[in-house]
Amino acid sequence: MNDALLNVKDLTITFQTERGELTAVDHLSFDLGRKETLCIVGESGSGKSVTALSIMGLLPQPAGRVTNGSIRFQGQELTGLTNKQMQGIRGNRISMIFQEPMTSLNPVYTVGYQISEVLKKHKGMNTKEAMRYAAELLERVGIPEPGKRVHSFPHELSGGLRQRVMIAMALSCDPDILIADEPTTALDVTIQAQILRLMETLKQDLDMSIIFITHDLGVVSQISDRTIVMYGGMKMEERYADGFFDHVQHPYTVDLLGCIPTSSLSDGKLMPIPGMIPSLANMPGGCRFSNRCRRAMSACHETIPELREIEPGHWIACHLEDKEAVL
Amino acid sequence: MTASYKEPLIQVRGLEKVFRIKGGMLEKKQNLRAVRGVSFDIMPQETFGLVGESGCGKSTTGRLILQLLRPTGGEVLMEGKNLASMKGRALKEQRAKMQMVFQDPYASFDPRQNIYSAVSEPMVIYGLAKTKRERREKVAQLLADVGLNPDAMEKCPHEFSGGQRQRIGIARALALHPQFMVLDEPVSALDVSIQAQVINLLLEMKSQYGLTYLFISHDLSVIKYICDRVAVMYLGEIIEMADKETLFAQPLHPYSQALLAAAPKIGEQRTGEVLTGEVPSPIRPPKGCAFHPRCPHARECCKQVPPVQKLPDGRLIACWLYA
Repeated sequence: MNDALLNVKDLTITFQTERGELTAVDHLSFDLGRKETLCIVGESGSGKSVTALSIMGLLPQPAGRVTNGSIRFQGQELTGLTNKQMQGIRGNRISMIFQEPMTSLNPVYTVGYQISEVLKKHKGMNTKEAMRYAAELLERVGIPEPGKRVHSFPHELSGGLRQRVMIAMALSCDPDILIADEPTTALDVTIQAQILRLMETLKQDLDMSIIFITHDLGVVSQISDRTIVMYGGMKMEERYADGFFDHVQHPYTVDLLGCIPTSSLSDGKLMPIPGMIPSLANMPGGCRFSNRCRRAMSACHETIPELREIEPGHWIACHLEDKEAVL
Repeated sequence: MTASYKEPLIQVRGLEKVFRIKGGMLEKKQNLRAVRGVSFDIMPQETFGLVGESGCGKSTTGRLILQLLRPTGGEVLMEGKNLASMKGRALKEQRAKMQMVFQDPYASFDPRQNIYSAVSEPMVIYGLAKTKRERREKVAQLLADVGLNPDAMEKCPHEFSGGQRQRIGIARALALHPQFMVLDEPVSALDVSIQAQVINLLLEMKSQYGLTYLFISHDLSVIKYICDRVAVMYLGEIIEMADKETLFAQPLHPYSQALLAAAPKIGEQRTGEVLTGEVPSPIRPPKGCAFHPRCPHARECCKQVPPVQKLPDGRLIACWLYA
């Protein structure tokens, strides 16, 4: 079954801290197919962003490291690569955009200069070619007056335009995978809708795969082909099929939906999940969600549930699915 | 629902705020008109929502009402008294009746002040509880009301999670038994599972203390859940105002329609047109209807200011389509 573009298997990421070694991501596995949009959903501390950084080889050093598992991109193992080897892939075959474009852009260079840097490095263009191509890229991401905008500094652009610049930069080498970490969280809804539509169009035009990291389940509904729900560094639920929200099974996902004011007019009462998101240092034993789960049984506090396929293309990690544990 | 014969608690009349901002070097100072003639009433025990995108003036409006910023025009009446013309002692007394909860629970506390000190400070300033013992009892009660253990008193803000800190922010706002609270994006910085806890807490506190809320948010689903009436703002003006049910069932202003359509809904694929362009600069707002450069229905008359009119269903709308 290996036509996937990216295979992540048993990925474990730890951070060395004053309080000892903390596990941020625990035995996470997933595949990303060609032209697929994978959404990784979770709240703070779920490990979703750290997963993205590890694929890019950008874990904070020296604290963070991959202690187990593999990340294979087109069959090539990425975890053992040196920084130099990784530079051939990062920004070239796999690109990433972040939540706050202002902090990812350098305030003292024009956006054209910053895009052309990538082109010079990875495509060997000269300055003139690179600037011309930078303007073309800005046009492709829907920035008005691209010929003028290449000479703009980041502070002269609005948040939406800056995010478009980041996307242009990420696309400059026609990557196979675009990783987007909360790319629309800092934007207004009408601008968010524009950026989501732009990413969808570019994905079709450029045959890209997208890993989209978000906490916003509404956004997931709109763009996802495959959805992974994470909590406490582990995968709770995954569905590769339509209608994720009509079929959610894991108690965490079900309860999470109960926390969101619905957009229908017949508003039911919100049902908050009790308690707090545990910190990495105080993860409960067994299932990570067991101390907040309404349906927790004794098995849930003792052993970590295995991921089971409950119907074709839908997996959950919950003891409720395990008939023996329920009995 | 509030009875119709009641007087509004808060009346906002033609509120204006102009900020003088620096241009570049050698450039003249410019006027940024953040709020441009906003008027609305808030009835006692009502939750009134202000919704809009960044820069629409919703937070500025909240601060103008509390006189944290002084308006450059218009009036704010609370129980019939004009706050905008009050000063000194009179304003201080009035301020005890109105409080604010901020978006960022990390930024709204002094990191070195413990929780007892933060929550009791308003009581000290207003001489509400005379002895330390009374204050401690009061703080313990407030913390219990917002669902925290009274032990929290001795701790510092960094020892709490975002959701807990927001609870403390609410406790502090309640310390003086206000009638009116401005909630400026109170749940936007919180995780979804914690957001729901805080929303429910705000609703409980409202009924327990008989509060009136001005709820400011960019999140339409939260607004819809918590508010009774909603005003939609765009570039410093209210463009539509209606009961929640009316507005969400059938938004009339093209901007309200676009805003509602743009918000992603769970279990729905995207439908409809995406609004093009971006919000223009409030330094040079477009002539006439501020929304006309982005409006799919814009006509020649839209370059003139649209009339604000009341429709038979009670909503206010500023759009030539309904003139």
